[in-house]
Amino acid sequence: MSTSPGAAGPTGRDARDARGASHEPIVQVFEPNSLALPSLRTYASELLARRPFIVELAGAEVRGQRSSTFLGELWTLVDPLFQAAIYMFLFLVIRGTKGQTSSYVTTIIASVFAFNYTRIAITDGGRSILRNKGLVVNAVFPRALLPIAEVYKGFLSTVPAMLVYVVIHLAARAPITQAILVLPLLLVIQTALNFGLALLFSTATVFFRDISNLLNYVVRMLMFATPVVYPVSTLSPAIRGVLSWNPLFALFSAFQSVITGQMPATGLIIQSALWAVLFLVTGMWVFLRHERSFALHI
Amino acid sequence: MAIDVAGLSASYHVRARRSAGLWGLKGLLDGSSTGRREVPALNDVTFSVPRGTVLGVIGRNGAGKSTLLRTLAGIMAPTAGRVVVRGHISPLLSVGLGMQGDLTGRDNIRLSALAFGHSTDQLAELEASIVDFAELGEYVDFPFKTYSSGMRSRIGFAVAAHLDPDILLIDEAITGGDAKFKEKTAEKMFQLCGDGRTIVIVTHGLSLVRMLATRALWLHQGQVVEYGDPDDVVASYMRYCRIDAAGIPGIDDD
Repeated sequence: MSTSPGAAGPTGRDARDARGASHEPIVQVFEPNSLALPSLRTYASELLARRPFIVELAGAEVRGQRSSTFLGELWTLVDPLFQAAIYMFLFLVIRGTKGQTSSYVTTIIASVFAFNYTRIAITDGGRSILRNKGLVVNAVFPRALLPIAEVYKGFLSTVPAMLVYVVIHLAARAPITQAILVLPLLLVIQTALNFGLALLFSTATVFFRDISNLLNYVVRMLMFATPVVYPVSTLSPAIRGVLSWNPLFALFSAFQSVITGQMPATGLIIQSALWAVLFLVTGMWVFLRHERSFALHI
Repeated sequence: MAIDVAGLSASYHVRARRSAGLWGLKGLLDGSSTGRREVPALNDVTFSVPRGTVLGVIGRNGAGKSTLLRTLAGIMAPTAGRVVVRGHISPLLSVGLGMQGDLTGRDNIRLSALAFGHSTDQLAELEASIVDFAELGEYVDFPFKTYSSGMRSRIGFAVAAHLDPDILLIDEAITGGDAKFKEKTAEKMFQLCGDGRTIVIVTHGLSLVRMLATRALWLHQGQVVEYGDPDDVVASYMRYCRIDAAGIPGIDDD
């Protein structure tokens, strides 16, 4: 009874050792589940070791979604262009806004693009465990790879939109100030929040399938409760007070002020960071507690 | 021993009704029922498998064979008892493996390998040998959903066999390929056993068990009826199937 992996046969065995720390414990013991959390350090190092999986899955899904279309990956550029065109039409032609038009339109387009990142995290991230049922039922790996890959996919599909927006921003001669330096920080906060939302919703959908049907409505409600298709400045203080309980409110308020060239209030940034941390921690806690029983319930 | 199973019990949670609708809501509110039931699949199963064994697991539908594989793979946790596995285990090989229909065969192969923990540098070589073994040809870049069932089981076996596991778990996967591919899988399995690997295969193909297995395990309603020499176990199982439960100890227990 040898427990050494190198003991049997020469072929391909050396390659095994290159696989890294995640496979070090050769003896595995499976016992009844407890709800106790796995060691966070081990878990994190296993996730890190499978980074290529995240990249591959996100890339493959972006390609797969477009594979049967004529324009193929060009759609990642065409999509945001269409969205931008629709919102321009809505606000320029139908509402006929005068005066501050250009900053109004750029703010909305930028917000819609930014919101897409969170939308993908909620809808695709929320369904990630169910969608990859085959892998979950047949293979052992840290399940968090799946929602994380979807958030990464959301980021990948946001990049072309960002490029489109930069062109629009410049064309509209919208202001560029040092407030722009806050953008990377906001992106980090949004990413953390997205991870939290994806982890939370992907766990919830496994145990309550109904939630999978609700995700699109959740996103739509969030979109209207968040300054996305309207500038935050148009809200009355009373409504603003109510909406500020929405976890995305502070983040998008800060984002809109950056887009209009103003430094966002520090309070907004702190508030959005707190929401992000809250969701990330809750999401991780819920996910890690339940991921070992996913295969039973899926 | 490569695998030690002691007092293993496992059960599933299933939703008893397809859709609870408004009644489900009522159940949620008064806490009476959410339509969930626990279905026992394995009951106090104990056995050990020495290294290098080809274990054939047989039994009728619903005997707990697939559940046994899932607990061995660590995908499903036992509800009682203990499983000790020494060595790297392959992903559970069932038809289609963990494949996503919209992605191409190539994408799926790469994802399986990466999920199993292979590094990106080994990927190209591994991918080539899997594609070659599964005889996918140009279809490798077609979406997986367009594959025939034969191609699906070929790609499934090829992936699991090439991931270089110490313990290979196979669930009914070989039945899909044609005669020629079956021969190839049998050859590959012999080769893997020769390397000192352990193989656990769940199948209804009794001749396959006799041909390949060095041990056989007969499960019935989640319990072990017989464990030992494949010829003996298969003979008793066949006797049971023809004349049903009469005269075979251990079947009428519950």
